[in-house]
Amino acid sequence: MTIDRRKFIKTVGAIGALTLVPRHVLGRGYVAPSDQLTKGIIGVGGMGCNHIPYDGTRVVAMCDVNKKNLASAQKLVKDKVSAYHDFRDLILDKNVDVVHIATPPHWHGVMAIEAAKAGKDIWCEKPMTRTIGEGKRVMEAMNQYGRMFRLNTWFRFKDTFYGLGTPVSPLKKLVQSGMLGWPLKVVISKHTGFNWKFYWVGKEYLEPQLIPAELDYDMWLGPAPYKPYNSHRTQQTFRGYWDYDAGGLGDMGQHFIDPVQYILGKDDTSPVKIEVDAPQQHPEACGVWNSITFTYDDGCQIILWGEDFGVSDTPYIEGPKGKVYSNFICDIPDWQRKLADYPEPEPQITSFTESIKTRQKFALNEINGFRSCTIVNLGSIALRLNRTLHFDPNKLEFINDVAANLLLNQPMRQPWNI
Amino acid sequence: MKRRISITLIISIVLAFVLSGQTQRLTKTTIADVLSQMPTHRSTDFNKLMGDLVSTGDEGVFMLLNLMNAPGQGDNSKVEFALSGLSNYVSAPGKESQRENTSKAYCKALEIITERETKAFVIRQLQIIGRDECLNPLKKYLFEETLCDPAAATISSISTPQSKQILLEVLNSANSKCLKAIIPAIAKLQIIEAEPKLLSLLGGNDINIEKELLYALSRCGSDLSLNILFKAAEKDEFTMNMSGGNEAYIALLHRLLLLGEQKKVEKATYKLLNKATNLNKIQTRIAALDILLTIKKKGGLNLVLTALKDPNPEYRNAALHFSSDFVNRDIYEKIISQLSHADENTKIDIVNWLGVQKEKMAVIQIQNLLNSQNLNLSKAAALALLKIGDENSIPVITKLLSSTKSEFVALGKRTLLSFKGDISTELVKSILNFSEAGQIAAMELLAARKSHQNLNTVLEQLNTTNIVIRTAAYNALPAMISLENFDMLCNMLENSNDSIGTVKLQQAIINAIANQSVEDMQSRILSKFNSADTTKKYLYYVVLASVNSQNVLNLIVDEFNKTNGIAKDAAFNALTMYKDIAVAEKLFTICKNDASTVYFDKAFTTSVKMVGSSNMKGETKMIFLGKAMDIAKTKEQKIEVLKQVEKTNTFLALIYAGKFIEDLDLQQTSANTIMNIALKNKSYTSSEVKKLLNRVIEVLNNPDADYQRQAIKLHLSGMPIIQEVVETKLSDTERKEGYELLFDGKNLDEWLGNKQDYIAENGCISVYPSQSFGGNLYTKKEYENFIFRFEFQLTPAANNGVGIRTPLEGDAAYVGMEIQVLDDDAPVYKDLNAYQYHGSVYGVIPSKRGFLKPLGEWNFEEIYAHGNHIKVMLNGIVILDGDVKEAAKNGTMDHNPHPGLFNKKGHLGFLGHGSPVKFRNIRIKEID
Repeated sequence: MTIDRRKFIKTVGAIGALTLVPRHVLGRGYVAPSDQLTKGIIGVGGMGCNHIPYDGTRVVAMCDVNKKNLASAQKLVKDKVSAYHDFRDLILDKNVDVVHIATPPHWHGVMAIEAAKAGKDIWCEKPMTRTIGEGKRVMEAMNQYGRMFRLNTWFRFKDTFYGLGTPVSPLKKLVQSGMLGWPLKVVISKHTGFNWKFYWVGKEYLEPQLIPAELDYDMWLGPAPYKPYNSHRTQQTFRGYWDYDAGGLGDMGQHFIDPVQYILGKDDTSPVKIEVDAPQQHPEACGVWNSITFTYDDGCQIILWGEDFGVSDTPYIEGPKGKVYSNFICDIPDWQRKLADYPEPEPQITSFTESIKTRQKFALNEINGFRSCTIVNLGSIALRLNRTLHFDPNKLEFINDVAANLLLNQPMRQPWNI
Repeated sequence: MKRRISITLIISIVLAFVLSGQTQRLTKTTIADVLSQMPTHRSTDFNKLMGDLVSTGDEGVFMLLNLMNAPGQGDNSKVEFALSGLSNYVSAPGKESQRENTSKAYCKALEIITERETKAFVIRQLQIIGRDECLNPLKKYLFEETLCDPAAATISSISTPQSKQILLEVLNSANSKCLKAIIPAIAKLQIIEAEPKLLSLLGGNDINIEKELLYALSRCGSDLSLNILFKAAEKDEFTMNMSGGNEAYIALLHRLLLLGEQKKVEKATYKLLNKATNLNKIQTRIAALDILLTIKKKGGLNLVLTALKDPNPEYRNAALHFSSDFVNRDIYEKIISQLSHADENTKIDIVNWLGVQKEKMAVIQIQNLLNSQNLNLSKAAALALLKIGDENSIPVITKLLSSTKSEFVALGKRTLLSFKGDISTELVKSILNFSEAGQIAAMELLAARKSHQNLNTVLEQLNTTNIVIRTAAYNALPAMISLENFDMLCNMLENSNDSIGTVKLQQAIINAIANQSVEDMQSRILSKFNSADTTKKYLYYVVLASVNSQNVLNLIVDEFNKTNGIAKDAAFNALTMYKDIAVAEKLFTICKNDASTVYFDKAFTTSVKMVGSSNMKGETKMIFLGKAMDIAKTKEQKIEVLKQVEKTNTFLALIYAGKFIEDLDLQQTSANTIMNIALKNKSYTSSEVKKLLNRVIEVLNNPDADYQRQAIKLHLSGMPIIQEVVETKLSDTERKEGYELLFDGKNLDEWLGNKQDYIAENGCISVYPSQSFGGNLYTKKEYENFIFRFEFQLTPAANNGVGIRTPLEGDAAYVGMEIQVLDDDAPVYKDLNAYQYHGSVYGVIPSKRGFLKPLGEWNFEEIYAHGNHIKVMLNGIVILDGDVKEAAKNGTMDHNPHPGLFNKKGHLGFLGHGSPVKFRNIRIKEID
């Protein structure tokens, strides 16, 4: 007789507190139904708490290096959860199936790889990794240990895509049809409906402060270089420092760029040229910029315009045969009718529990996620060096630029390595 | 000899960097120049300044570093910009000698600097530009606990044989505090000679050092380390642990494989596979399988076939995935043959994999699995066929529409939607064989592909008695018609008794003529409308509404007014569908005329939204929206108004939204509106804006509020500090000359008229528009000849005026005289006539444009009026000096009558209520 899992759980739940049965208890080879998957969240500040209600899984563990965050996040969950200070203890927790990483980006690579080594599947915040080198290692680890990875941005498969006023799918269909011609130029700017959040700029001068008692600053820094403590580093404002993130570009970059990469069909390659027009960047604090232009080898371009830069009546996508403006206004006469002759974009796996069960890659995974994060990281390297860079998308190296290549990897503070 | 050289060197350094007074002064100037321009905003400036900095050589670097303060002792940002700019500049390709010189300068500087953070800063600069020249200078920091971290990282970045040599040397002598920095540097450079020493260091108490050692051995080790790392992995029970033993062992196996130790690695990996299998560590099993298949490639087929029998899907899928690297025709055949007898889950895995591989060989087998009873298997098969993309699969996939189970029909439909090629032919051919759900799906697919040539198939379905099918057919209709169907569709609309189709038929008619000219559309529909039976006319209202023409709009409004019941409803519905903004006013009139009408809610929301998204000027929209707010009945309606107010993105809108910040129903919407407009418009920096934003910070309450507060604070911190309240009093000189204050900074007792929009605050008379929509502010007293002085502050596109010798009624520009007050720089005013510029006698005498201070600053103005002689001085510049009689003798410039131009006397007034403006220090002197 097969036990009906849902009924079983209901009965148990009715008797007393619900005890979740993790996968490992169910025995070898048994894949739990989706409603039995469990998750542990690393980093339960603002962002990590958003992960608590994410579909398909239940929180059984949390981790934070700030005692206050950890205490207040626990109150958000009805059932008792295990609370950890060291993320490795959460990863080793046998009750955890999926590890959610919602820390600042300088930790993403290390944590994702550790979780893979422990045989966990991973749900990781954007931007995927702080360096291109870390991203490469994440891909290797997922492959080597057979793990499933989902990056936490979703516009390539659901929700209205910012200023376009439509989900991405019809845009993809239009581009895929070839009606706009080739190559295409995409402008991501406030003029096309995107806000680069330039309020995430760092402070160029920080007074050293006393480390608050609730915070383990050394563990917060982890692989990042040691710098004297100031709360502006460790609160949400961490985004304004190159050691941990890349300002508004880091925060919004993958949200905005990943769908473009999908629309252009560039999931397995990277731009070959990166040009910046920006004020000089401080070595610590991320600043603002006017424009960053990424060019692919076939001539397609992704252009980012900061804040007020650029011209207001600019198309979002421009090709030799047509243009698309924000709110999905297209200048091709009768385009909707013409487009009907073409097939819809291929369906994607948009449920992470389905991906975990079938071991088929999630719509946005470590491979295409690595590529869109690489665009973000290429942009920040070009900004920091303040010059045009040339990149080899296969070798994943800059061409003829030693300094730029050194920025592909950020040295890690001990004892962290990947 | 040696000794002499070093003495000479020292002397030359001293000469160059300490005693050379002249170059030092030059360098000082350059440095000061560079620092004053940090950070640069354009790359040309950057390149020039950094070029200058390079030319200062060591001296410049020393001077800059000398300016660095210890943490907490002062702001270093300018120096940091300069030095990191320098590093970045010389790190560019083609600047090798400049790079080397700068690197050497940093190294020398390291000798002099004492402060830890500054040293760390310099070492981090070397991480980008250092090469062999800085190895020796850096070496000693490998022994300093606080700096060995960045020093080791920099040395490993250099990555040359010399850097390896130094690390190796230091490994053998470093104290334990610095081992933790040196070991990973050795790992990064994979220094094989370090293996014996690393092995000898194992077994200590520091778990972090143990972890580093295992990691380093996995990157530098040989087969000598194999057994030791195996034990470490075993200790970690072949999974992740704090010491990283298991990972290190796997990494070493990979490394040895690259070094050509296939046999040893294969043997060791089989052992690992067994251990991991017994302990059920799936990730390690997969990692072992990966290594074995890398070694054996095609020879590993049996491993793959065995893996496919494994109960764990992770293992099965990993095996398939790894075999993608070496799969050939033979292996495909073997794996495909498993499809006949494997269990269902394994079939799913294989089919998924074949899809990812886009492997055509298996099309037939996958097609056979498509119509299985297992939905998951069918899903996998459908997706695989889609990825492979063979058009022969279309009939097979189409068969899914024959299923009576809705999930299978949905799968068939979703797959066909994405399938490249002609799907319509097969759908039409088989539609009669489909289940009900399948027939519906088929019509949806035909509609999606706008398959006009298959219209008849859909039309036939309109005759069925099955209401579900009929509905689907009607739904498909609008996408499938063309102009030639127009008459037929109108005929159906008028004569069909099938009410379920009405809306779709109307939509179909609209689509049929959509690409025609407005005249053509209008005449076609009107001819149908006019000839239709009276009881059927209403069916055409909504079709008429698709024509953008004032005639048609008026016609529908007339119909709305004269009909009742269904027809009236239809006319109203048609009005809400009308696309042009002209309809907004009509809908608003319906609301205004009768607040109790059943049409109120919809008419209100539709018109407000239309106005909000129209391309009217923001200020014009605001007038409408203000009126709409006054008649709004519900909280939701008010919120909708505020949302549209926000979209106007004007100063007016920001201030208007501020009026609702204390209204609990509207507080959050108001706060969002204020925030969004303020953040988009950096020029809005007045004290009201600040006050409102500070209030917004207090009241914001939503999941993103923390982020938003952050953004507002940053925005506020970037605002210029504007002067606060100034005391209103006459200067001694003015008092002696006989000036009087017309406003004491506190109350409007000396004034008459619109005291709702004009209020006294902070020493100013402020105009807050749209509270009352009307009226000017006038002095109580009348004046004949005078000098009138005042200060004023404008907002974007602000429009006001000073009335002189004017009565209290009528348009002062004509019944008296108006001296224009206008932000005439605003883009909206670019086409003004000169007699409308700021300071002009409106319509009569032009003024000189261009002397207003930047928006937000206070302007000082003096108006001199003596008989017909008028003179206006703005910020000390005479912008108008003329005689009104002279100017008007051949008619006024604006060709309008100005009956009040020669009034002997009258009131002074501030004219206007449409935009925020402030006045202060208002005084007057009467003259003879």
